[in-house]
Amino acid sequence: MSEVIVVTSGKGGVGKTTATANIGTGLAKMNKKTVLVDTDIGLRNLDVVMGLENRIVYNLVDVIEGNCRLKQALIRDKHYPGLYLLPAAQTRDKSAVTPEQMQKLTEELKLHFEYILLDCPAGIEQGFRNAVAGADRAIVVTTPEVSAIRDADRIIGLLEADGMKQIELLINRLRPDLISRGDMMSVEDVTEILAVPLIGAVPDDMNVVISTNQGEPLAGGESPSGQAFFNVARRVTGETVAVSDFSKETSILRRVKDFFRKG
Amino acid sequence: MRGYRTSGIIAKDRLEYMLLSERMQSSPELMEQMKREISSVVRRYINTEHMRVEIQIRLTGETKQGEKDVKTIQIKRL
Repeated sequence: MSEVIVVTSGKGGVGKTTATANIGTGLAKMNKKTVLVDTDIGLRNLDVVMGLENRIVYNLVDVIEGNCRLKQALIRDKHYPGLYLLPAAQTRDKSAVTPEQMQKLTEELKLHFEYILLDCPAGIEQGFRNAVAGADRAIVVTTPEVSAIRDADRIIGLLEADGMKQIELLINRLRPDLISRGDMMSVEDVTEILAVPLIGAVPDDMNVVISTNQGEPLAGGESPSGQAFFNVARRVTGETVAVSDFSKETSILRRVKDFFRKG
Repeated sequence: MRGYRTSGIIAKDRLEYMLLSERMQSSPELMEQMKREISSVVRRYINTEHMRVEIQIRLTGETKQGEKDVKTIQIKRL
C-alpha cells in the first residue's frame, strides 16, 4: 500500500525542502520505493537540494498537460535506484495546476511507488491547496520560533478542516544550548502548544548548509541532523524510534524557573 | 531569580495567548477584556489580597483527529 505525504509549514524558510529531501533519502536507504514531487511551481528548489538540477528535461506541468509521459519526467537519484524526483516547472505559475489534476497525478504515482512525498510551497494559497489535495498524510514542519509556530497552528487548522487523516509535527533547527538557557522553546513546549503527534525533532546543524551546497542530502549520515532525519524516515514507515529530547536537562530547570516566576 | 522570565517562557506565553484568541476567533483585546471582567467579578466576592488567582475554562466538544478536543483557557496572574 502506498502513502502520499505532504510536507508543509505555512511559513517559508523553516526547512520544508530540506526535510522532504532528507526524509525521502532516508526512505530510499530503507529500500522503500520513493518519489519526491516538487509542487512549488515557479519557484522550484528540491532539484538543487537533491543535486539533480542538471538532469531536468520535463516537469510536473508537462506531465499534467500531457506533453510527456510520467516516466519521462521522473529523474532517478544519483545514489539510490529506488528514489525519484518529479521537478516543478520553473517558467509557469501555480494557476497551471488544479487540485483535481494533482489528485489524478498522485493516484498515478501510487501505482509505481510506496511513498510519495510532496514538497509544498509556503503560504496558504492555491499552491498549498494543490499539494494538499492528493495527500493522505501531512508532516507540518516548524522551527521553535513564535512566527513559525503561529503559522503551523494555522496550517494544522486548515488541514483538519480539510479532513486530513493524519497530521504530524516535525520541529526543525533546535538549539540545545539556547533551550538549556531557557532562550528557546523546547520540543515539549512546541508539541504542547500545537497539540499534534510528534514525528521528529531535528537539531540546528551547519552540516545542512554544507549538504545543500553540495546537493547531497545527509539523512543516514554521521551528522546530528542526518541521524535525526533518518529517524523521521523510520517513524514514517511505522517504526517506533524514541525522539531524542534536546531539553532533557532543562525540563527540571524549567520547572524550577516556572515555579519561581509565579511567585 | 524571583520573577525572572526567560525569553523562551515569554515566547510560549505570547504564543498560547495569541493562538487561543485566534482559535476562539476573538481578538487579543477581547480576551484581555474578558480577563479583566472575570477578575472584577472574583474580587467582588472574594478577598484575593494575599492570594494568587488562576482560572481555567474548559471548552469541550469539537473533535480533533478522532479525539475529543478540549480547549483550555488559562487565566494566570489575575
